[in-house]
Amino acid sequence: MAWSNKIAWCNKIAWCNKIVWCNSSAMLAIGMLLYLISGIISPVYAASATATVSATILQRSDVAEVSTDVSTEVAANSWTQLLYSSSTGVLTFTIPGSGLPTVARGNYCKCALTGTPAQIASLVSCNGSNSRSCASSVNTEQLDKVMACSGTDSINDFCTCEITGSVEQIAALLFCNGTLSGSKVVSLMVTDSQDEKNNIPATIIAAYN
Amino acid sequence: MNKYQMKQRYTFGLLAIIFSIFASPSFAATVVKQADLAFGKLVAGSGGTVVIDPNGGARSVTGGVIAVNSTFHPARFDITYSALELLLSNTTISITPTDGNASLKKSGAPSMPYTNYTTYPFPLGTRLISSILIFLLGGTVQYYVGGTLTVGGSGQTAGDYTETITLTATAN
Repeated sequence: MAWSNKIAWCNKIAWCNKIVWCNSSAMLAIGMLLYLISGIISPVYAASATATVSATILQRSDVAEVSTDVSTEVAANSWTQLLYSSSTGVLTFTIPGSGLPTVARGNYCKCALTGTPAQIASLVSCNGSNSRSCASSVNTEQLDKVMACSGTDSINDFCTCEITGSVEQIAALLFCNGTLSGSKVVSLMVTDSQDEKNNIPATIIAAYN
Repeated sequence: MNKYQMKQRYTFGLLAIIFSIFASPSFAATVVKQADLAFGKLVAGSGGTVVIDPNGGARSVTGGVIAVNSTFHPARFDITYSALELLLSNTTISITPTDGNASLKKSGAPSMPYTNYTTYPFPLGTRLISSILIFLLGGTVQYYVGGTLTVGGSGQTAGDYTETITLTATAN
């Protein structure tokens, strides 16, 4: 039916004309509403973004710091386990900010720091600052022994560089106010000073940069 | 109303309806990556797993893996949506590895499987219509992605391992 004919036909019926008029007005609103709804419910969009997942594997000798706290290790008895075993393990440390690790073990352990003179010297050098001030909690007499190794002693002339003291003292030396120095791996020998006959040293590798 | 006006209004209404059927949606949500997922530095040791918790970003290790002090964090995506949009569209979130192989890779080294995607504040596949009433208001959801990385033993050579993942918000 032609549009003009339709209007003419519709004009003959009052309600039809009304419906046509209403429809023409409402259709605009209906159309806009459908448009809005289609924007909301249409199964059209799939927004996405990409991210990278990464991990870095280090050689053990490259480890600067590891994230298990010394106190955690002690609490887990791993320190004790290493002490009474002949196994070799890795004692992992954390440097909590600029402070020192807290180890509640008193003077139970006799700790000997072993390594080449150069290694020990680098360990206590504390990034070039005065090692004595960095390691003030370490027995100065023993520290002098350590420092004596930093002279002209060759690696082959392995001197006795032993530090005795509490775990806290050794830790103070190792962490040197929160900054490890040196670039080599040394071993920290831990023995039981209260039971010499069962003195089975365990080698604990403190890996650091 | 004369014949011309009537015809004009009728035509315009019809066009509006037709347009509504074929028009592209105007409320498409957006997903923007804000942070990559980093498991940080690790020593493989005898092997084990590393887990990044998407809720808070904590890292934990099992087995012989040693977690080295370093930067680690879950991935973060910002999902932005209009009022009612995600609620009415019944949107779900999915994550897929870009290459189809969910593992971190390094040339010449064994890959490390990256599995068990964990997310926060709602799990993958959740139909948001059933759980996220705040979507009534529109806004942005900070969506965090963690997971579990399986590290091999001594064969896991040193270096950087990477993978890419794609997070998709799909209207169902």
